[in-house]
Amino acid sequence: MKKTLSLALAMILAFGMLLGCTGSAFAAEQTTISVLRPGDQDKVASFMEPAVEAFEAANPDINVEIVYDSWAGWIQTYPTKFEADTQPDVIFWWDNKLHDSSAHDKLVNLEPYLSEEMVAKIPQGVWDLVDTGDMDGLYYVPSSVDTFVLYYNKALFEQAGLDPNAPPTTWDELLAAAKAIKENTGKTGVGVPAINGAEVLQEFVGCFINQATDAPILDADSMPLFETEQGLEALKFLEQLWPYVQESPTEYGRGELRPLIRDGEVGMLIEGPWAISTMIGAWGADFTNDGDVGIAELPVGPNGKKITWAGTNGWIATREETAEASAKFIEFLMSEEVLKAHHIAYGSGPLYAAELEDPAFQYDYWKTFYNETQEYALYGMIGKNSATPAAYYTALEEVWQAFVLGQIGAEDALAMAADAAEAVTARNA
Amino acid sequence: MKKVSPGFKVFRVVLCVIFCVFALLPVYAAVIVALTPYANMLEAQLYPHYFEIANFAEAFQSIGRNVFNSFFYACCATLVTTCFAVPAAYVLAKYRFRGRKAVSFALMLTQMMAGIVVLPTLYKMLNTLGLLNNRVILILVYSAFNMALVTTILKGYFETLPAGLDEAAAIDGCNYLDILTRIILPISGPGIAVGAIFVFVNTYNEFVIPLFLLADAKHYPLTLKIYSMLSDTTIRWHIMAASSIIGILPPVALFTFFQKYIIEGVTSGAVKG
Amino acid sequence: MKKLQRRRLIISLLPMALLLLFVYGYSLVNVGTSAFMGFTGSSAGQFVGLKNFELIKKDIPDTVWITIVWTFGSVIPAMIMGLALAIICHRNFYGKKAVVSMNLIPYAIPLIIVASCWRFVYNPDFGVLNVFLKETGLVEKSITFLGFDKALGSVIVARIWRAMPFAFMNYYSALTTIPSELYEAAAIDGASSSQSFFHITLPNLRSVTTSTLLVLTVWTFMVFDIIFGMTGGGPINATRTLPMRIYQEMFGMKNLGTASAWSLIAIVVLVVITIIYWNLIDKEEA
Repeated sequence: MKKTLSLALAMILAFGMLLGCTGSAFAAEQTTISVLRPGDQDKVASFMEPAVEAFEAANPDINVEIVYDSWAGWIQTYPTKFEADTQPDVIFWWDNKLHDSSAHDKLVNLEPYLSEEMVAKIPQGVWDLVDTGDMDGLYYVPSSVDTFVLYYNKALFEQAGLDPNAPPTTWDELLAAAKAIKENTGKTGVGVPAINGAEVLQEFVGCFINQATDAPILDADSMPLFETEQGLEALKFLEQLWPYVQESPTEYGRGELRPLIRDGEVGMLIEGPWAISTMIGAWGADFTNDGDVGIAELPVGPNGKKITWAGTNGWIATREETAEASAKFIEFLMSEEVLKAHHIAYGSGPLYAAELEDPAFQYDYWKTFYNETQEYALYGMIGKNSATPAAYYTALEEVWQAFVLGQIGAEDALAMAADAAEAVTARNA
Repeated sequence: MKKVSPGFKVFRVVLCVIFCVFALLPVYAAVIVALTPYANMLEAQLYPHYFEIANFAEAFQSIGRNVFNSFFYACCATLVTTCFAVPAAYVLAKYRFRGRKAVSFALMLTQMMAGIVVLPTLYKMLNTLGLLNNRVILILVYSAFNMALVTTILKGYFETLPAGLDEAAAIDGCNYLDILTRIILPISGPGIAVGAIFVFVNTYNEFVIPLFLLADAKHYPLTLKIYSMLSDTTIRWHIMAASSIIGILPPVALFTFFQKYIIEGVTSGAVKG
Repeated sequence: MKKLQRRRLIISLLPMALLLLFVYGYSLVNVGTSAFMGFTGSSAGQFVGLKNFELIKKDIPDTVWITIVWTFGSVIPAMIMGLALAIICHRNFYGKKAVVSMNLIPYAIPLIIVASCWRFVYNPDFGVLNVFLKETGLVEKSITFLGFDKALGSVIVARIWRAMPFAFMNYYSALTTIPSELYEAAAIDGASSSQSFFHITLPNLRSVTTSTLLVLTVWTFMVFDIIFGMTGGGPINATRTLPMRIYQEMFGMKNLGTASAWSLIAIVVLVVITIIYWNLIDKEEA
């Protein structure tokens, strides 16, 4: 018995070694790269697997491995991965984390490898979002641009005596609508995501500040730009809006608010395209006609300028050794076909005009998103010049939470937020 | 024993019911959510209105690998901890030597240290050594965190063994390793069992250590996976609840089955509260 | 014999000692040094004196207060409840085994799942507690259990839930060690049951009470998972205990220096409590 067992073991071993040898013989002429697009595995697999298959067929010398991770899992562990040098070669990254201390030194300049044609297809406003000034070269290829729009529940508008076909276009109208909904129906006027540890409240408050100041939140030295009259104007407006926000906003993230606007518990939301799948799930792809929820361009501030928050995600490469193969793959991921599949699978707005011709993007609400990326001034995530971008969100979140809960007023919130941001910057000085 | 008055009996029943309701409430809440289809999530339910068993199947599909990982780490850590702790506990129980108190004190100190205190610097050290995201290291760290616990339990157990066993064996020509493996181990079953159950459950339940030390999603234990679900933008409440229920079954089964050992272990004064 | 014994000691203790040194030794020493080092910007790698403590100074009073409320707010009720249940279960009755088993369940569950389960209880939209309160007409609209005012209380309840079985088990076995002759003698002397409770039971539970209190205090003080999973330290800083600060400085602010400063404070507290506990056990053994 023992003999047979050891014989079997020896055979398995020998066989394994044989396989190992042939494997390494292949590897000599092949480059293997790994790719990570964080998020729901089903959604990622649905566009990534066909893309990889097609890419490998066209490039037999490159082998692509797909790595899956959830957003939350990835955010927790990317510092560990980068520091352990186990990060994937190609990663779907954020526009504000190019200076992140974990990743900064690993980023590869892709400029020598990418075609100018591809670079030119991406709107200039989007490139401006990503530009950190001091990084010479092309380290990040934005592939999804998510802007804020206004979602509103038409049924609730009607109940509140508002015109469901005339959503608010200015701050004043937004406030008036929120007030009417709260007072006439008892439901929430505007949903505000303010949960801990997510970056959602900063993006919400920040968007209003961007609109009023027509400037980013932080300058190139990561010092606050919002401690101005216009900044105060934005917070004063929000202070007027708070009474019409849902009870206990700090218990709600974006995910918790989506079913509430769908079910008519919340009148309006300021959200990115990520909420669309919830609406499609309820009423089908043409939900703005068949369902209760409508989508409109973001209401403009008192200066009348079209400004919105926009977050981008895009591709980075992290290893010099595989840079060429990585760049090739990124270029492939940015091709119209693959990008469209990516956007459809994940519910992102179209980036190229050509995508609008796809039946999946024929609905008016996608045009709203597309128009914003083309026509609006875009201000993005904060901390792009800092080694610790997440720290700004952590520090500002406490201030904005106190503000949304009514513990501090607009003047105090403005001063405290500026102090908090300066303190983070001072730590990195 | 005195007779129990009927008034006390009623009081006892009421109190027991309150305690049991309190003990089961969160699990019950999770069961309700786990049985609800996603579309009906916002519905108010005091008792389950739905019976969506498919949620469990879906949950198991997404966490199956993580349950396996958790079991794997727990088994390895149990084995490693026991191997290291048996000889140490044995000499601490049976030999009087200088520095014995110091060793015991150091052990107790490690027992009191929570992971979150040492992990930031441990993380930095392992990073320098290139040992992050290494499952062998992870298991060693798990073992170190449980070492004091098992040593204390085993030491208490060895103290109850009759003295002179080892001397008799030594006279028979056994060397030290033989004494440990042939004489002491076979009769230490109950003591080792108590320690092993605790290491297993502690490792299975551990969250902070892998949170710091692991990077690879396919190596995540169940606890990290559940946290990922808990912090997603769109929380799939039904799947998370079903996963939680699946996740608590193994340790709860162990605890219920080995209840007597557990109480024994707790009162040995070595177990975390 | 002496030499032989020394060799045995070494081969028995060395593996364990090496492992513990590897995991704890360097880390603990490093906490001590990192707390006085800079890790960000131009001060990276330099000795910065008390600068890290100055950075966290403004958060210390709130954090200490919240940590104290969190710790004792959960330990003391948990012990009282554990004692009550232990006294009930000390006598046999029909269904006792089931009661004991059910009350041990909270102790077996991973803390992060404890957090997730309690979120199902507290959820403002479908949480079972709010549904119950609304259906019985006790409240009109949902109570925001994890809102700013109530979050600390709510996480404390979850911690009580988790710690109660531990106190229960300790009291439960301590009660069995009280000799029944004491009660019999008291009964002969005509003592009522409340008299024998206060004069026999309680004094005999003194040492188990002290040790349980110390152990629960240490571990509650350092609990991370429950708060992390339920509130992440918020809203604002309502539930930001010391361990949450360590995590925030480490991963939110990416500053090992300030994280170590918090850790050092925690270590000092832990060492003090350990010494008290050690002396207590020593006295008992002597």
